[in-house]
Formats: sequence, structure tokens, C-alpha cells
Amino acid sequence: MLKTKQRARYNKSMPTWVEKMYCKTSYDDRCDDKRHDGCHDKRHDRCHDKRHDRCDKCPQSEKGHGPCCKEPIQCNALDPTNCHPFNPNIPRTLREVLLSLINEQVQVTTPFGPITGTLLVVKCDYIVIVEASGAQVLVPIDKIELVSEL
Amino acid sequence: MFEETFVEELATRIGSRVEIATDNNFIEGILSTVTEELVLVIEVSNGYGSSTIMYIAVDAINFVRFPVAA
Repeated sequence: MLKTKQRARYNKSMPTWVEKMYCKTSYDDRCDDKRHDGCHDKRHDRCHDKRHDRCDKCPQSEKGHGPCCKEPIQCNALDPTNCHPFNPNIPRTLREVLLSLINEQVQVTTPFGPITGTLLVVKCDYIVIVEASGAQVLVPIDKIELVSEL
Repeated sequence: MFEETFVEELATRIGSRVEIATDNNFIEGILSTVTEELVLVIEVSNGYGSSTIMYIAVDAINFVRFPVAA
């Protein structure tokens, strides 16, 4: 995150095309459609529709934020490196990697050992893998050290 | 089909046979109770009815396997 001085300097020198890449509005305020079309179409909507809504349902949100909320709030960050990646094809979190591997043969490694099978679903804080035997395995995302596609 | 959180999903599977792995332990038994922080597994050690009750911290769980019934 940028410090206040850096942030001010950054805002002043920020070119228009960068400005359009991310949303400066507060988390609950919707963007101005004309200025932040890109934001609405992609990341801002994703943020509101999935992560934010899901957090409200998450029982652990009482403690602050549920596991699904721990990811950086992309829409609100002033630093574009934390906000909207310039290359959206590069995954930024382990969860994004896992989401891209749904229905693929994967091996995930935990401190106990590896689990191999087909990645069935990625939920708020865990994934489900179906092993060759047909057994379902629930793995908390926090415990995953390594993910590899087979 | 699946619940949003790990604990919620475990709670739907009470009564199932499970294999639970932590960093250094592997526990097999019947999933008995699930709370926000604890999972209670009844480990059946032999065919004569003796069993061990194991309390496992949810945060310590590496994975939970639900084997296909034989």
C-alpha cells in the first residue's frame, strides 16, 4: 500500500488510462458508469457480486472477515500493483489458481502430504478433490502449500 | 451442493466415516460433532465396541477424506 504522500503524488501524476483501470470509489459506492466502464464490466462487479456478497453470508464475518475476505479489496486500492493487475491472465492468489483448475487432475500438497485427484469445487475456504478411488477429500485452502496440474 | 465454508460442509456430514489428517496425525473414525473450532471424531479401535474420542482443532486439519463405503 502506498503511504499518504506517495498516494497524493501518485494521484497527481496518474495518466487517464491508468485512472480508468481501477475504481477509486468507496467499496459500497458503485462506480460512475461512464468513467469506470472497464471497472464495472470486470473486477468491480466480480468483487461486489461474489466476494462481498459471499462475505455477508460467511458466518465467520462476525469475527471481522471470513476467510474469503482476506484477499485484498482490489476495487479500493490506490496502488495499481495491488489493485488491478496489468496482466489479468496472471493469477494473484492461490484461490485464483485453484479456480482455474476446476475439473482438472491436480495434486495439492499439505504439511501432512499430497492429495491427488480431480478438483471438483473451490469454495470460500476449502476445496473438494475426488480421488481415483471415488473418495471425496475436503482440503482447507489455508493448508495448501503447493498446487500442481497433472 | 457444497456449503460455502469448511466447517459448514463438515457439519452436513456428521455420522460419516472419515479420515482426518493434521500435520502429524492421521485419525480414522466416525465424524460425530462439528463446532466452529472443534471436530469430534469417535475412533473405533476394534470390533469389541471400545472406542476413543478424539477432539481435533479445525485449524489443525490438513484434509478430511470421506472414503467410499465398501
